[in-house]
Amino acid sequence: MHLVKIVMAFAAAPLAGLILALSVLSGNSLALNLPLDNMMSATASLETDMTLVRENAGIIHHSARIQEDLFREQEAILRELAQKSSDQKQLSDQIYEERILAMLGPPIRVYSSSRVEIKIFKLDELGYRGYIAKLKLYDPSVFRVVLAGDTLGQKETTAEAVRRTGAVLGINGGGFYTSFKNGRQVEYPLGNTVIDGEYMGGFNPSDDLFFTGIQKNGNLVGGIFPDKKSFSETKPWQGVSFLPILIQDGRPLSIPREWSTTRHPRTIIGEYANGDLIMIVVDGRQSDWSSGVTLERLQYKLADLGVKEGYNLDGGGSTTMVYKGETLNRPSDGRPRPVVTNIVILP
Amino acid sequence: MNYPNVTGDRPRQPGQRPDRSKRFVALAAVFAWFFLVCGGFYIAKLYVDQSLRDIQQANAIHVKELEDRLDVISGDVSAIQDVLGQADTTLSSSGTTQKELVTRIEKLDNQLQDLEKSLTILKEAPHASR
Repeated sequence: MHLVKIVMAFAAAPLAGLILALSVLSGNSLALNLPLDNMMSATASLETDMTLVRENAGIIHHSARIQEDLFREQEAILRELAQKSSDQKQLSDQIYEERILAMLGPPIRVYSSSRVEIKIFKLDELGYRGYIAKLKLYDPSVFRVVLAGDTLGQKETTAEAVRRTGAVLGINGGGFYTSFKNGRQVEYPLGNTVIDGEYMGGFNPSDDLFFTGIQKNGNLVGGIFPDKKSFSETKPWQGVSFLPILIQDGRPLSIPREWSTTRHPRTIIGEYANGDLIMIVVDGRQSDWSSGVTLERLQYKLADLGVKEGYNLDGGGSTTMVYKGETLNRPSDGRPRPVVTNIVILP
Repeated sequence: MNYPNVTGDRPRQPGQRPDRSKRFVALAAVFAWFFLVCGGFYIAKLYVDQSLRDIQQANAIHVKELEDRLDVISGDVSAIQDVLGQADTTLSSSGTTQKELVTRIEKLDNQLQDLEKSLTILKEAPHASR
């Protein structure tokens, strides 16, 4: 019996070793087992989310591309429209220019620079002759009103003014009157004369004398200004005064009878609807050359030419047009008359 | 001749082993038993070590799999960043294009007004046949 016990004890010995080892070491092996199940499921969920995000990002990108393409397409259409619009305007302007030129005939002199284009035309109508200058002012500063000798009270011919200022073209300006100062004869411009925005001799209100000239941007302004406020509002930069107004907004204005039916040499300044300026001189008092023109006929002529604004400047013996130092017309006095103001166009 | 037992020990019985041998046998038995326990322990340790290696290998495989999947996700994130970056660029470009569009529309509006003005002028232009 004792031997059996001993044998049993020996037989159980390896089992005891096993149990001991397992009890000591199995805890370590379990500790090594990583809890990856949650991570795996979280990763799978993350993968699904990433796929969705990727798809959405792709959609956003695609939408942005479509939007950009659409914008570019619209931009191209707008560019094309702008080009067509520009072409049409150019064509319209060109046709208008052609119609004006068709009315004026071929130019006898042409001057063109980056600042101004001048075309001179002969005016040869029944009973009167003269010259027309059509101007495109690319730089309005070429248009200048000059006092004789740059001083109030003096007189000079248009040719002298053109030579003195180095101008290409010149015509006589506004009316003037003679006065005596300290026993000396002095000449002053009628109405208002503006040079570089300054009123020469101050503002003179008037109910009949008009003022016409240009603004700093080259737009022609004109009208009768009984008060300084309305005058200042037109922002005149250069200009002179005389009477009467022939055409305004394309409509002939009524002219006093004593002015409308008498034939005299005339000087006119006006503007076409496209902003081109027109200067006209008509000779007169020379039966073998030109008898002059009535203001009424001039109104018709201006309307025929398509002029929208027309102002009658100082005429008679003062009427003169000088181009590049040459007096084109034939002043009725037989020689150029000195005047107080001239309008010159610089090169 | 017989000599008396001078040590005083009890006289050995017939068939009885000496104590020293008994102790040796017992000690050997204990050693043998202990050897068997150690053997069992060793075998169990081998088993546990093998199990540990298996677990480590399984862990390594899972971690590798996770790394691969995270690499894929990282690639996806980069791709999304690229796509969103491109979308951002496209949208910025669209914004610029839209501003240009507005400018062009304003310019076109001005041009059309100029054209209208020019056509009005042309309508009132003089005719040579007048």
